[in-house]
Amino acid sequence: MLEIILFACFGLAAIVGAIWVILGKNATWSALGLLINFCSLGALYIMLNAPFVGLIQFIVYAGAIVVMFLFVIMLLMVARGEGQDKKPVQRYAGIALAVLLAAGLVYVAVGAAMPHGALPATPQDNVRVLGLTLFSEYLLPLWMAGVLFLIGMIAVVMLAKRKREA
Amino acid sequence: MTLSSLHYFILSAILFAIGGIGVLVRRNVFVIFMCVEMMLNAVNLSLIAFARYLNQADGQLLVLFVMAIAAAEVVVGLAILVALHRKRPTTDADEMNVLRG
Amino acid sequence: MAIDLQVLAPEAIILAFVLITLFIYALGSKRSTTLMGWLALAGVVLAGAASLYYWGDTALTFQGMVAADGYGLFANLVFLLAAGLAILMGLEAVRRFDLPAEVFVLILIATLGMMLLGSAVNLVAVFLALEILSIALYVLTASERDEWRSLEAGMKYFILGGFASAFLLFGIAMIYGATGTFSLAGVAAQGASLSTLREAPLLAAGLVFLLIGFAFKVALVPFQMWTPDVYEGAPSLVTAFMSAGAKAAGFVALIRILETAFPYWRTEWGWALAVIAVLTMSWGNMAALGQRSVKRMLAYSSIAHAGYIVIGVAVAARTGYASVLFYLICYTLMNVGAFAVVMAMGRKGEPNEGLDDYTGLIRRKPGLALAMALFMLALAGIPLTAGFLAKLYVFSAAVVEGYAWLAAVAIVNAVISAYYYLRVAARMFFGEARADAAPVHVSAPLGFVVALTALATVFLGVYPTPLLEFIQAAIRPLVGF
Repeated sequence: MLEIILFACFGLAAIVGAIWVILGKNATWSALGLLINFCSLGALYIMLNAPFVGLIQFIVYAGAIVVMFLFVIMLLMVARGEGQDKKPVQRYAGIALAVLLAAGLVYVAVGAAMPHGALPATPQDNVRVLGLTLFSEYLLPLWMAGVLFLIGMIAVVMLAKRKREA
Repeated sequence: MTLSSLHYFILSAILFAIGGIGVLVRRNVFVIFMCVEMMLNAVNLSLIAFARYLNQADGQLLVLFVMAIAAAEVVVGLAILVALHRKRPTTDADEMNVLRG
Repeated sequence: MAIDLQVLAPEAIILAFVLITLFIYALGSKRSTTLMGWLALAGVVLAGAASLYYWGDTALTFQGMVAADGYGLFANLVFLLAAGLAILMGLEAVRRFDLPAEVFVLILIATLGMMLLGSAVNLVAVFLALEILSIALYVLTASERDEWRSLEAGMKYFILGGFASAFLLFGIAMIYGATGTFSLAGVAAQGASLSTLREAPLLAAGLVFLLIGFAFKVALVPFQMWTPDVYEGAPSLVTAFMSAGAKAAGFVALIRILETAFPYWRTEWGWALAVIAVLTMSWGNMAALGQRSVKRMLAYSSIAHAGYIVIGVAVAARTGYASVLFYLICYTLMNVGAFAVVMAMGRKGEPNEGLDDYTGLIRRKPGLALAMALFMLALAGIPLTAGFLAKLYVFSAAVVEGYAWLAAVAIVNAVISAYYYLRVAARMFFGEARADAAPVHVSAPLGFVVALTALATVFLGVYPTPLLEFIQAAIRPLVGF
């Protein structure tokens, strides 16, 4: 029972956060909604026997990524509102498409045999299991993630530095 | 009633759709960018839920990789935004015609 | 642990050269830019040699994450060809357009992503490889960083690419939820027990999302809207590289995923792709008809060509896949060649991409005009060029596998496309050049790219047999039947 109540609370919070992002008057407000969304998802991860991923969610998403967003928004001083919204036609078409998409997915999921039951892995084992799998089965993806960070560094150096000659 | 991956999947689909609306409807590049991140997060929820109810670690690992990707992606995106801003200060996506065919 | 580094030798070589070029970059002397370019080229050549050396070894490695089979190794050669040509163009572009030296490193990293994508047999590896490729391309697109349109194109590509990645990831998540595994073979084993789409709604929805994600990445209608702006805004060498290499990587991975993980739904995805093929080639050709800018016209034409290539995937048979691989090589050659000419026309701050800028080129630069005319003929599919045979093989595969109507639509499209390709050729030969036309310079590396692609386009159009036999051997591990 407690599980259902918690799911409802955090699920609702995540949806509210998401709507906050898309309704936000300016980018700073949206970033706040994003924070709510990320944090509620982190809580849901912990409920789902994924405490390590939940913590990383708080640290990386809610911490680093949202802060980075806010930092750049402040740096560029673009926290003002935007001009007009998109044309109503485009707006309603966008909303209609997305609602259709969600409805379709729900329809599919209700009709499908979704994974359920199963015994929970003991939470204190979580990090050990993750680590063992990560460094054996998923070693190559781990290296590939390293290459991704390399791209990030190169991109920042290339795009953000000022020209030497200038 | 007990929770199963179905409930989490439905929540995840709703969040994914809200993110999609944001990308299609908003004009502020920052907000669009946040919505893309929100969509990735919505998928992460599904993955974690499936991993839990399949009793596997694999789904959680993909989520860790997605977080790594998102971090790299945000860095690249913000770097491009800063470079754009240096050239001409605007954040309206329509001024940039993001969806012009 | 079954980790055999040898079979990933080509990828390891590329990674090593990424680090070497970065090291040279960090030393940062005046001459280092050119040196980095040549080093990157050396890496590409060595990786190509390694791919050929390991030819024939079929091995799974990294716990079944990647397969180093003939198919993946052959795909490597396509990517490396595109990368090598792009690096040669880059040697000129860093001087002419003041591109930063990082482009060489980023081209290598993007190539690494393509190679991993071509060999990946696990959806986690597929996703990461695709992201390496995509993120490197976003940065490459924005690399002409004092040009607004390049940065703008980079931003657009970035946002719509991220949007596409989210769809792809959701597809992977649903496939995982339905089958409990990320490995393509595992998905096939689970899925084979379900005979119809209706029995496995979640798996089917996952496949649909996966297809949407890939359709965005290789620019298929209705997910092509980012393409014209991004291809036009990116520096020409990047456009050449991504329209040839990245598209090839997307198709190679798509074929592997569909054929390995979803063979039991061949009819369903075959039909879906056939419809997409019709939409893609028709839309691409119609939109290209009215373009006044040669570069933008080539961007639309690249959408149309993706449509032709999808036909080969849609027929879902050995002949189809072979024709796709052949098409990808031919398209790489003629397309990179055409973009090399576009780049040769441009100068810093003056792209000179309009149809008017090409008028009367035959009298100003006869060699360049002849080469461009050849590329246009090849893209239009005129006999004696590689483009003709490429189209012929795809269309005949469609006829043989019972998609005659698809071939008919494609032929009509090819005829329509001839109009806008031949218009460029006609303007170059029969127009009178403007008096104030900017002088055109062709430097050694750029001239080499144009000459090489032109010769190869003719050669493959006349004598394709060895390559075709090579391709037949390459797809053997992929298709058991």
